[in-house]
Amino acid sequence: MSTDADPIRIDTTSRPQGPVTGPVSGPVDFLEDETNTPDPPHAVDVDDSAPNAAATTASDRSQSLTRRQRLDRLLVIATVISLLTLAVVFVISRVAIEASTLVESWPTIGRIYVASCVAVALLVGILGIRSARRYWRIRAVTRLRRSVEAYQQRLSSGSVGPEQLREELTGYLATLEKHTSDRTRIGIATVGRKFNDYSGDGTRDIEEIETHVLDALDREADAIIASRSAQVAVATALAPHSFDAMIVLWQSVKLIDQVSRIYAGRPGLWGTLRLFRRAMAAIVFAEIAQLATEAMVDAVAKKTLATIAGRVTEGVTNGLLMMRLGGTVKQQCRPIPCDSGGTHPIRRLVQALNSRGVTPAATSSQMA
Amino acid sequence: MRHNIHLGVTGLRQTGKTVFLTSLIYQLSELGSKGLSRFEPSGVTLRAATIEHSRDRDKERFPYMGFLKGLREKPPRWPAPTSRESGLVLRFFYENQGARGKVDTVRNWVGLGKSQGTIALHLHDYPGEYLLDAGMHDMTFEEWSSETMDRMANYCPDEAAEYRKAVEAADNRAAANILRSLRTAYARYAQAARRQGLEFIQPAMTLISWNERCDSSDQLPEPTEDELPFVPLPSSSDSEDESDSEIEQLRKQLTASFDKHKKRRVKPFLKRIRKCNNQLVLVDVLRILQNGKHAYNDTRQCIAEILRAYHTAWKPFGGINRALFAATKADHATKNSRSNMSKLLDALVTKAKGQLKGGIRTPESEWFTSIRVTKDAKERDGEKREVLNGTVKGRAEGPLNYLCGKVPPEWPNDENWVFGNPAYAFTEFEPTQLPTIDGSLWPHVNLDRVIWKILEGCF
Repeated sequence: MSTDADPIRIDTTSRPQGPVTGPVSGPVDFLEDETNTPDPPHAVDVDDSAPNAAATTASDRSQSLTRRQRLDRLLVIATVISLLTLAVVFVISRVAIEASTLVESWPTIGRIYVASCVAVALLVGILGIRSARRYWRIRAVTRLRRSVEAYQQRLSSGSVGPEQLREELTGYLATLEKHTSDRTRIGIATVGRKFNDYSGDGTRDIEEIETHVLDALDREADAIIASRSAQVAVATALAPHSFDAMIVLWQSVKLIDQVSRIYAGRPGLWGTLRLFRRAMAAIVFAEIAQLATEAMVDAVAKKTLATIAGRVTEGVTNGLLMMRLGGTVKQQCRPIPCDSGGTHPIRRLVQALNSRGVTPAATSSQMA
Repeated sequence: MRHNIHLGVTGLRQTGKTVFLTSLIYQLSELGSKGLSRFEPSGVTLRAATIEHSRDRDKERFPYMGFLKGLREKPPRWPAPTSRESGLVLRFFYENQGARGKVDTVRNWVGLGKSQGTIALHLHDYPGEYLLDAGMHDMTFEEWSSETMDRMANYCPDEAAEYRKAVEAADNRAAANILRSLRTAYARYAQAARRQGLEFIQPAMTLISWNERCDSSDQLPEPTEDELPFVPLPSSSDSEDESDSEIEQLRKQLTASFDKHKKRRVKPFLKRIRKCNNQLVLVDVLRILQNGKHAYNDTRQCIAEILRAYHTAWKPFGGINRALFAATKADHATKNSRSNMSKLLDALVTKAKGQLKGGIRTPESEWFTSIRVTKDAKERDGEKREVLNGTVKGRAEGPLNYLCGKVPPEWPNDENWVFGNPAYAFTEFEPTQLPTIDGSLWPHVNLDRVIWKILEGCF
């Protein structure tokens, strides 16, 4: 909205550079309807490698990498490779052992078992690739997170000003608006209206986005994390042992995919590798838990009781690991860093299981 | 669940208390939580409230309908300033979807759930001047006189010297004559102080009507005995020799008036504010900036006095438990200056807050506008400065564009920060005519956040 040459009826002493206060001559543009929904300054999906004037250049970044960061990255690569190798070795060896035992006793069932394992592996693989492609198309929020952290840590340093932060936040909101629910769109519109009323206060900007947009997304993400964790807990407790790793992998991939889509944001390459490491750790742990359960069953006289106890423990542990993974995914995908505090994971898992009617008594009777 | 919130709304002269209450009552009684964006993300819905009389017989009914009519007239007019205590009760139903769960279902069944309930919001409107006198309750006349004389000498040295002369020249006259001349001298000081934007002029409770007379007349009105029952009297150095002198007679008379003021007005008022468990203190930060450092120091002292009154009125169970501070008239500053208003307010009240009892919570300060009367705009050419579009107070012309001062992130700390500095000049605006249809949204800025902070304890 703009007005052409609003009339001036009060004429004060005219100064060369314009008066400090008083009536104004000449046309003005009204700011009211400028950003009812925030305009994207760069409404394209970008990842870490994309150029951005607001951020430091790649060469600057590489120069500023400290020795500790390099070591950390090296450690990430090493652990990812070793965990991946361990997981593959575990899964292949388990399938091979079980398949050979079955082929010796019932050759047809053994073949069917091997075929089904390959089919499940292929299915999980296809799903994983699809999810990974979709995941990679999501906007990376690493830079925005860095800006928010820099702003929160201190305003006086001047590294990130409130105007730059507002620009980056509105860019994120514009991207989110394209991929989110109607309810969140209402929240984004409210933030747009609030942003119209003031400027120059990044802390307030962050607070408004937290209140009107991210709180609702957090609730959505928490519900998905609880649901996936409960599914993993029940499925790994009930399914045959050789499927545990597949279940954990499948659910991890789905979890990362869903949570990143809720926030319309994902971590950069290194953040993604860290998430992958955590997912691999969950798979390896699922296998180790299985071995421990089997060893316990062999050692104890009352096999049924030991099996039930072992399976329940295995399920709960896998569920907890999934919940921890979910917490990390949420923290990494959120454009504004949050505290990891809140309800204890064990309590959240128990609540999630209870809400699905899974109680200790029901689980025991199913297993028996 | 039922909640009773007693909200005491106070602030110094022309800070927007009455406009805030009118806007709050309209919002809650006509619209509920519609248009209050802060409530939606928390899943809280307020239904439209019913307006009831205050149970307190000492209080008048807040003249909401009259104010509403004035704002809807053509041309619209601002509500009249608060000069007496008044009150009203808003009763409304709320639903909180964010609190639903199995446990809450059981709680609801026994009437303790948080997912739904009724709120009775008791609004208490009282002039800010009442709180300025609250600090007197534990002072003697001598202590008060000494403090007041110091303040006079500090802010208005000429008038203070004149007052001292009046005291010194009083020896040979009758007590009644001395008192009359002292009243006139004190009135001169009060007028000079008010011209500088100072507010801390005691006895503030009784001076309200004199202030009104001052505003409506060009000449200095003579304060009556009711308006100025006592004036400060410096302590004499050799009181034994002069025990029977006229000035000592006057001292006895003034001490009696001071004690009477404490007993009849200050202490009952403190009892009444004890009932308000929530206090909202409105501060016009822009006016302080405009009036300079003396006004800053004076307002700081006023706020300290207000908080001292809260401190005195606090009791472990059921007394004041929350004091919220808010900077009003945010639409009188440009868009990029507004968020600095709460920073300035925080800085202004920090010291005073420190004196509060631990039992009184003080949430972060807010900035807001109860009824928005300006539009933000930017020059199209030249320096592209931010301007405000609105109708300036006292002018019949339509809306014009105005440049106004900037609100700095910190209080200025230089010699040039004095009354009339154009860098901190802010324009007062007339109201825009509000929609005459009940239930239509009123323009505001951040009123939703203030209402949320008042009610959030219920959800």
